[in-house]
Amino acid sequence: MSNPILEINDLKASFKTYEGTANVLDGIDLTIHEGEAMALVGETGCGKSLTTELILDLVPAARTSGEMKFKDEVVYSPSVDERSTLRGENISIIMQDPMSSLNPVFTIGEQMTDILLFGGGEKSPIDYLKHKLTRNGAERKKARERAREVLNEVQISSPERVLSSYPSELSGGMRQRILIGMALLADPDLLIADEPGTALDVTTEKKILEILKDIVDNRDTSVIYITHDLGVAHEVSDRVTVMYAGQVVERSPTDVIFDTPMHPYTRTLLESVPSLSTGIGEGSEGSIPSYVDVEAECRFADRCEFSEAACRGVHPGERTLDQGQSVACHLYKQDTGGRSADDTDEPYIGPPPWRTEQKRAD
Amino acid sequence: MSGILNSEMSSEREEQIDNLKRLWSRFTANTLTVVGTLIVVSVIFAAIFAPYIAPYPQHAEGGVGSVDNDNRLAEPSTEHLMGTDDSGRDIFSRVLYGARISLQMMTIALTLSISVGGTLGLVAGMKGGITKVIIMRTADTFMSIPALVLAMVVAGLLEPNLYISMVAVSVYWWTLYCRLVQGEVNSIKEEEFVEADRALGSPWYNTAVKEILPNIITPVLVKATIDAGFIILLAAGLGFLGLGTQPPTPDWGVMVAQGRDFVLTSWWVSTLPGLAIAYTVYGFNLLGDGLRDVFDVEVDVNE
Amino acid sequence: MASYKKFVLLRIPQVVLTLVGLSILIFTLVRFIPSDPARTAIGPGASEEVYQEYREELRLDEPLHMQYIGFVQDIFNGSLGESTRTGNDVAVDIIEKLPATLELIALGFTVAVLLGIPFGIVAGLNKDRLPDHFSRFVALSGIAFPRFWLAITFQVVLVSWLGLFPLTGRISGAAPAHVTGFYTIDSLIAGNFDKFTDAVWHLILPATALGFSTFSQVTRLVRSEMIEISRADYIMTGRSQGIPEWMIAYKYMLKNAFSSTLTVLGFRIGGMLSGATFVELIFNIDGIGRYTLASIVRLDYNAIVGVVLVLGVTYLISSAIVDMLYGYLDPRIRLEA
Repeated sequence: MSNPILEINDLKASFKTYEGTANVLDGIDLTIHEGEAMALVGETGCGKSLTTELILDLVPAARTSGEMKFKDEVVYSPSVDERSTLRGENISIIMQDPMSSLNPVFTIGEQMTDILLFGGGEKSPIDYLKHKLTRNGAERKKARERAREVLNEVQISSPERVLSSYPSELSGGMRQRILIGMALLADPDLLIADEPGTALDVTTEKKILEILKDIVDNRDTSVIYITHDLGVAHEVSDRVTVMYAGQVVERSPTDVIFDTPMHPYTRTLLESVPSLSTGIGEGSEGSIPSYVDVEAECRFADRCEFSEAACRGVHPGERTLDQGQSVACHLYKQDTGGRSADDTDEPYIGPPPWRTEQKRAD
Repeated sequence: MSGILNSEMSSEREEQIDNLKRLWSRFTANTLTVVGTLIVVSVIFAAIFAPYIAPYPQHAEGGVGSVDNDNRLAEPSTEHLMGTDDSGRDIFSRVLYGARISLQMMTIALTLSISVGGTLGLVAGMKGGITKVIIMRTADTFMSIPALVLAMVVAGLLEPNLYISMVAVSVYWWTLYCRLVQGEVNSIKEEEFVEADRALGSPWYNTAVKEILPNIITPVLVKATIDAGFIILLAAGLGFLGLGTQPPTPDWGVMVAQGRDFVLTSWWVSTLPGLAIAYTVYGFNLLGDGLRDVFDVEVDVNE
Repeated sequence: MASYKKFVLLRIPQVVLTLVGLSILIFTLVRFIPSDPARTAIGPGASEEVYQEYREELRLDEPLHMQYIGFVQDIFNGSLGESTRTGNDVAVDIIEKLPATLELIALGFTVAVLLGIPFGIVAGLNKDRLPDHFSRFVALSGIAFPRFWLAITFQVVLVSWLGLFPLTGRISGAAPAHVTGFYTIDSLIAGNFDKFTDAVWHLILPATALGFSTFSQVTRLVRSEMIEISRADYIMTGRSQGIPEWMIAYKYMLKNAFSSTLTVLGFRIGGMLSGATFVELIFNIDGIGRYTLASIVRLDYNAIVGVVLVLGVTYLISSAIVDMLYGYLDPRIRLEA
């Protein structure tokens, strides 16, 4: 496997609320390798977006701990915090909601050229004033040219018109493309796409995903797709990481997870994938528990049909299975590879194999 | 069966209690809100118990011994905490009694404004169409005259006194509640339970009272708390200009005005009663801001 | 920009409509009041003949709508009717009194905005830290302390105790030759720089007393807007692309915060116009505020109608200008129109 580009170890994040401290992220480990497309999957409110926003230090209100390495260099640890230097050139985020993620009072052109001319954090207000006063034509022209380039790349046919428009004059699909274009401006090594196209209608969403996938393939950048929809993950990713209530519950290569989802939560997610034959998916019942005063237990226990005494008392650590899968669930024996050899041809459904074995023995 | 019902009811009760607890913890989490509450409570306390706390109640109540010519313009001292005015009256006692006047005026003006403005806003919101246009345009017209000027004109043209000046304040203030209620009604009207009610054929005023009114009480009360301070300010302003409460009533604005002639010699006569106004307005504003956060409602603040 | 022009044009009929409503409102209001303006004007001792003559002059015996039509006709002839108190045409009186008030408001308003915006920014960027607490205290004080109390306290502390400023008036000695009625401008026109500084010196206390509440309101608003906007998605977009913090704050957030603050500034003009009454009274300045008060006390009907109309027009025009500026700054608004 190629080199890791981003490693996150034991990332924790909490917020102060009126009700008490909310421990939202509880020890997230993530590794993304060069050229890899990973999907971070989970329902709304499970901490997917927060995880990626913390990579770039975009949530000042969060109290965080843990360690992060970008290209083998420590960018975040108890003693170091250089996450903000990663923004733009190293890691770039495509924000979730195209309707609210563009500044309403500046033209697209101005917002894009600002990123090119002043992004990276080294420029001072003096540089800005100088730029404004001298109306640095050549530099501006170059920036605008580059902006036009990326707009072409996201298949916008009239980039010049778009550049001189305000966000409110453009459609949602257009704005989503612009957001993708913006994220590409500084040629990032890692692209994070937060629910790309989800806010739009299905046809537009599909088109957006196609565009994005083309760009990622052409550029060979690493990418994290954030999505609540395993169907989307199936289309675009190599590997899937499933999150629930601020914890990673399962990791797996994309093709494997569709055959054999190990965690009960992954199963419910899979059931809720809308497909053409069954219409809208059933969805999973219940909702994510409160993050305040969480017990040391499996956070999914309340919604899990297999939950037992152990699930309530002890937090299940992550255990490695075969086929590159790992899962945090008491259904599987610690460090034993999980299933017995005889039912591998069967997709995983229902009570875990080691329990049926026991029954047979009785 | 009854067991199930009981447990359901108790869980609903628990939820309500939980809700109240959450609101309470939000309320007390903000120090400023608590300070505001204490201030407001202290003003109400002063208003109720003025006769018992005031060292010289006769100076505020009028009648026998209401002036003390041997003690004119005495500096603040332990005997007269805020000094005395040009009639030798104890300013501190009059300030305490002034709380009665201010709270009374505020209550009258708010009751008038909310009942008139609220009703018109409700009608405008529920009926819509031409009724709404007429009511809201009229409100806009009233609002284009500055509050103080409109109140001055109305109070001045009628005989100025405490009650007239409150009518004068309400002539402007009703528009604010009209707008608030109309906006709230508009947003609630589209919701399902209201639509359902209307589909069942109940007349608009029934729907208004049954479904809409309970939902607009919170924003109206929050706005009223914030407005209380502003109305006290406006009433004091009218008193100061001689277009509100008339002397010798111990109105804070009137007291500040009376001290104007002695600004260069006896600073306490004007400035100290003015502090009482500021203190009270602080209190209502802090409390109102706090309530707004707790109940999470959006209300405009106009002056 | 075509859409912006449309936005502006749409605003005009609205203003005109409100203006007509306003004139009817104030006109009727004054005439429904149960006292006799003619009697008040000439005093109880005058003869019945003089009294009747006066009633006729004030058109008091005509039906209400005829009175209104006559009033509107007069307006188009540049007259607001005769003031029973001063004997001048009310329009003439107002033109004479307005400059003193506008001078106060201009200074008070400018200083309030120029100080309020940076104050609000610093507070908003440092939410719940010392600058924020301080600014909130100041902002709340600006609302809580009545203007008349501020004015008197200035006189007590800064004039009586410290002797820093003149007690009352607009200028020491004679006024500069009348050109605009603004003493500051007139003294500059006359080339008398000493008079200019003297006029400014006289303006400082009343303008501060007048503008303090506007200052606190601007601070409060800019602060809350900055906080609100700092949570907006588009701010995170900018940040995630590596836009430096100074640019986020002073370019991306400020323009948004400022455009919403603007709408409230229109309101403030009306508040300052009426608040000027207190300040003019206390600092003995012969402006429109004192004129209004005197007209009301003396039941000078034409003057009351005239003044309220002028104040209403000023308010409507200033809020229309503010709206247009808002539309210019925020493209969303003009697109809605």
